[in-house]
Amino acid sequence: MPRAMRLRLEDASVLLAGLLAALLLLASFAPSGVGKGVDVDDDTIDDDLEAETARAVVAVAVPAPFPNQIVVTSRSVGAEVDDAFDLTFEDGRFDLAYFREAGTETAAVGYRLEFRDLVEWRNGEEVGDAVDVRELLRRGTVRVNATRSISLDGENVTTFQIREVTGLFGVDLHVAERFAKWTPTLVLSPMEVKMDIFIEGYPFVAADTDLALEIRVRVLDGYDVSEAHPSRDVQEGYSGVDEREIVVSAGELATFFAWAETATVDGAERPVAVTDLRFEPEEGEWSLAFVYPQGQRIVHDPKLGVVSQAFEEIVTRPKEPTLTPDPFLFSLSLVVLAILVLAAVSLRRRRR
Amino acid sequence: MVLENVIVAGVTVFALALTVIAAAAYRRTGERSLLMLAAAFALFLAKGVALSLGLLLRLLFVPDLFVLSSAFDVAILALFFVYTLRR
Repeated sequence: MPRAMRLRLEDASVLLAGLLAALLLLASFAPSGVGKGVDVDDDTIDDDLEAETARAVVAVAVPAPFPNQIVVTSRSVGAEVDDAFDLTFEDGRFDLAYFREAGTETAAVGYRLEFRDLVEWRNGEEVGDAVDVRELLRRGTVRVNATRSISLDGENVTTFQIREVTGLFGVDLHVAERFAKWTPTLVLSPMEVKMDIFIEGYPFVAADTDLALEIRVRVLDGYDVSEAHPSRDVQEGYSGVDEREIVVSAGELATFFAWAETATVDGAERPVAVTDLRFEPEEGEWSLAFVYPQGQRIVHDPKLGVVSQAFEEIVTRPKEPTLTPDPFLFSLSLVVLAILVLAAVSLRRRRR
Repeated sequence: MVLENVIVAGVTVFALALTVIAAAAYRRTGERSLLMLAAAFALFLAKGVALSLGLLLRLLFVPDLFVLSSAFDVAILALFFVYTLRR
């Protein structure tokens, strides 16, 4: 080979070192894992975000030994201004109150939710007698059972089972302190209370009717009530199912009652129709109805929640990048580079 | 991506090699400038070891990393500065 074409060992070493340095430099400009979290518990939520947005929750059923009421208090931790929300169930009513500053006594915004009647509908007209759900859920006929369980990703979840004596209508409430993978397709949010509605064995009088669950929402004067479709959770990617919601707001502060657009009716997923949200001036309440296809077992999953300002503050504040140790990669790099260095030195010595 | 692991390993390996080479050269020639060079490379090695331990044992946060790395750089540059002035 002509001498001019031979590549000297020194030139090769310099070229190799230069190439290595250039590769490392280029790689350092590439989007890296530095600063980006991981999702070890596979609940689709960044683990760092999950830890930073965990809330302090007290969830109890009272009074002992035969509870028929629920008290949930949830407070953010670690925000510049921590917020809180309370959810209570008593005498057939669900009251949700959001406090912009935890520890204050006056809620910034909230609403009262009541399930009123279950009634058969045909083309919007009532058929047969209605079942007064509110009466069923009142103190004397309702029992609340509280259980604590572990979600699929190892988080603590408190579940309240509200059951009335006939067994026709029941509600489960699920409360989590952190984002929790409740089912393979459902992640509980600490800013929400997940609700499951059970309607079993409704005594239909006709075969061609639907079942309407009439709902009332009461808010204080000065709060705004609106509908959103899709819900905020869907818009922001926190929900994987189609949802609609009622939003009760006071300025930028908001609470919501959201529901999936389908329900499980006798094991099959079926669409849920919803009547228009209307204000009933005589009662001073907003009304709507969920209309389910006829079935013997209906399961629907709404949720009650707040738009937590503390959560927004935590999520949007500048993140400090983190380092990601990888012992295997580190060791491999050590060995490979050590071999390269020893080889270069050895070749150099032999050439001398 | 875990590029920091490769970089820190690289710093450690190359610094070790250069320290050994410089120390061997000083031993062979007795030239004091090579001693200072070996000391500078030894500081690079100490930096590599410190960063490796800090990374693998999760002892370092990015602000600490900046301070630690810069402190070593200052010490190394000071050695080079003294070496340059003495020449």
